Amino acid sequence: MAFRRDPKKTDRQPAPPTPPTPPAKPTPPAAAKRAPAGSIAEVRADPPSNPSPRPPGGRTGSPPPEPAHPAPPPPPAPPDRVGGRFGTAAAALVFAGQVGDLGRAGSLRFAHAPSASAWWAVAELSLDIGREITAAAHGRPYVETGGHLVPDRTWGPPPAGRSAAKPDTPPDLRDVELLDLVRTAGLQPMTRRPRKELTALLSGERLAAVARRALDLELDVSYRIVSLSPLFGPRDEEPYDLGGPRYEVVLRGPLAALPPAFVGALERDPFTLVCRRAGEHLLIQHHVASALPDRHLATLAERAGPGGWVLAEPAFGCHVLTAQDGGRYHDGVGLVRLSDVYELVGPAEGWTLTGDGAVPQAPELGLIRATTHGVAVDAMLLDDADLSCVSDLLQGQPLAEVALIAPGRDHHLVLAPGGLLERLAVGEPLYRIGPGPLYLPLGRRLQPTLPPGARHRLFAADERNAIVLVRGDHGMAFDLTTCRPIWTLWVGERPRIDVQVPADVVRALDAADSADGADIGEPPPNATPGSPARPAPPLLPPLPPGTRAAGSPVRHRSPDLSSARLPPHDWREDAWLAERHGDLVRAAEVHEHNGDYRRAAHLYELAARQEPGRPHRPASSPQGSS
Amino acid sequence: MADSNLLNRAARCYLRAGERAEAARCFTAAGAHHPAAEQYVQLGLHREAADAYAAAGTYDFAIWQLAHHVGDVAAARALERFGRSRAGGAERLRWRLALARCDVVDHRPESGPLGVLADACAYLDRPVGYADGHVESWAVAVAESMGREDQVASIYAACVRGRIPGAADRWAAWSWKVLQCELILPAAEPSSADSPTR
Repeated sequence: MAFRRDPKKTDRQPAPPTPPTPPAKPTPPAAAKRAPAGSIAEVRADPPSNPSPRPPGGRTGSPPPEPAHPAPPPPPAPPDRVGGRFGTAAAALVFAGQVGDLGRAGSLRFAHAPSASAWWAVAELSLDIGREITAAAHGRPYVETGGHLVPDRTWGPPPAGRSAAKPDTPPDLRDVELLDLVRTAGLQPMTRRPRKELTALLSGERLAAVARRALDLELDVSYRIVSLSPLFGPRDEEPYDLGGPRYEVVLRGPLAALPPAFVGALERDPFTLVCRRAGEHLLIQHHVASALPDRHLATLAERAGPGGWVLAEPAFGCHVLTAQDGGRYHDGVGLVRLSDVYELVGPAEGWTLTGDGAVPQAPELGLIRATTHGVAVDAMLLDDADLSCVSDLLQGQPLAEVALIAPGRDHHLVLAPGGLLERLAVGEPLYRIGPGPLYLPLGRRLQPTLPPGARHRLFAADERNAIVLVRGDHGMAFDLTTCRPIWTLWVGERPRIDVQVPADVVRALDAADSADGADIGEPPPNATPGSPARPAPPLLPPLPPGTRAAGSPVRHRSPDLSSARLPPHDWREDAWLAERHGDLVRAAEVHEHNGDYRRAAHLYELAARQEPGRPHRPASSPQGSS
Repeated sequence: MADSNLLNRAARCYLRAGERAEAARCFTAAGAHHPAAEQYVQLGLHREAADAYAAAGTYDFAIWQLAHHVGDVAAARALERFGRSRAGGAERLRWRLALARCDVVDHRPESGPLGVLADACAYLDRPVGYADGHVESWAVAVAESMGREDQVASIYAACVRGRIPGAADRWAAWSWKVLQCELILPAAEPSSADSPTR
């Protein structure tokens, strides 16, 4: 199909009124047809082709002789073109599409009258076919006869005589092009059909994510960089400009249609345009269509120039797509992000298949990503910077009552009897894989998988040492005997407490001191009764600078927090000791007996799944065979 | 395989801590599928409850969950082949009521479900021993899904005649909720044991 596009005939302004032709010099009908070369507006402006020139002034010469018998009227001449007047541009496009299917697209002419809100489309068709197509497109049949657009009677011969001499067109009729109709008609929704190939236009920051997801779904992905420029001229309401460089991503389902959920997710992205390819040079938004069939639009786009067309709803606008990279597509597999551990190596030494007794080299132990959804947080690994935030996070929280901290050189382990079961906003969350206090970061598991006995022998986590594996080749050990309540991080100066000893007791003590002073040594100068006590040494082990206020002098009779890291006779101490010694059931029973059912349940679950040779967690296990 | 005893204790502790989902997970891991299904029902996770009921071998409950709560009749009918022939009683009635619920969703003729409801009324009218509460609730649900308030009233009337505890209160509550009218029942006839002796 070939639509003629003659820019000279396109006139967006109303056609200027044609001055009346002097009747003394009528324009011949043949010349009237040739001059506009098919322009409806120009044809309409011509005078009626009914020339019977008479000189002004009345009779000249003798009248013609009257025939003896009146001859029958000649049959009306077939119309030059047949078409119709349509109320919308979409209806005119429907007519044009059917004419194109008949192979008469080259004879199509279009006109528009803004005052009448009407569109005309005519083509060289037989009268019957033209009437049917026009009626199917909800148009009123018109014929172009003798250079005029006249209404058709819809039946019988074409209009002739006086009716053909009266054009029925508004004065502002002007020629338009097919593209103007396409632009005015817009796009209408269509049924979403499963498609094996779609094209997405998106920005570079979304390219890698979309490609990786498509590759996960086993789709073929190829992409190239393109530039977009507006297809139509500016209007008052300028759509959102998607112009500029974009990536054209072609998604193909090699075996079946693209997954509807994936396509739907792409369509919901407001910055991604999902298109179907309607031709080599035409992309149309996935779920919309023009009233003109895709094949005719594709021909129109192909003849428009080297660039392709992108037709989309006003949210994206219509653009001309130009390939920037020579039009070459790149394979989307290159967008898969690999870590640096997949370097290319030569054949492994010592690995042989020749049967000479060589043992395959064992793979190096490492941590890999794994799904740990639903796994409770047992501990948190903090560094010095995280530690400075902990006091602000935990002050006033119930977790501060139970959490312990095992300080280290530059990293610190926060844990609790029965598990933290809460995730702090700072630090690395850990879960316990056992046996013993052996922790891994959430979202990681050991590769290769090790049974509990192997983990015990390799890492030797026991009641005194907690092991945290942060990488396959790097772990940290924390001394659990140095654990103390985490609230000691924000303990400031302790109030001075003066022990009020009765006077007789003081005198008795003085007497005893004077008797045994030589054996014990000289008392400190400020140790006299009633005076402030001598400054006691700091009772808490030193913490990293800035994590707590400097210790103040404390009387030696105050409770020693360093020796009683948990409050004395606290049931949590019993549970913690049992847990450190691996008796998780006993620890769980202590928690259950004291009403901490959540931690009791967690410990029961750990105990159930850390039986030797039994799986760690059933469904969401990050360590399936441990 | 984890220690089911410890997992059961963990599940009970989770229940006492108010964490039903964790409890259901531990019950499932321990192989206690029926209590797991009950927790899933309480959580409104009816498809998971159906899976647990099916794992426990109580396919009538699984079919009921799928047909009545999930609306997946195809999945419910897929479990139909696992049903065993039952001699009678409440268990067989539950099975028939679950399949009748599928028939209602599939818009099959009402004669089948109505026959099942008639048998349920007969069972509730003269229950043998302690009446199965599921028979009453499922029969009411089937009748409501059919839009047959008359059948609902018949079921409740049978329950009242069968002296099922609380049936009159449930009937009155249903009447107030659906018909917006107060239910007034005639005074129960005193039994011979309750008659005064002279």
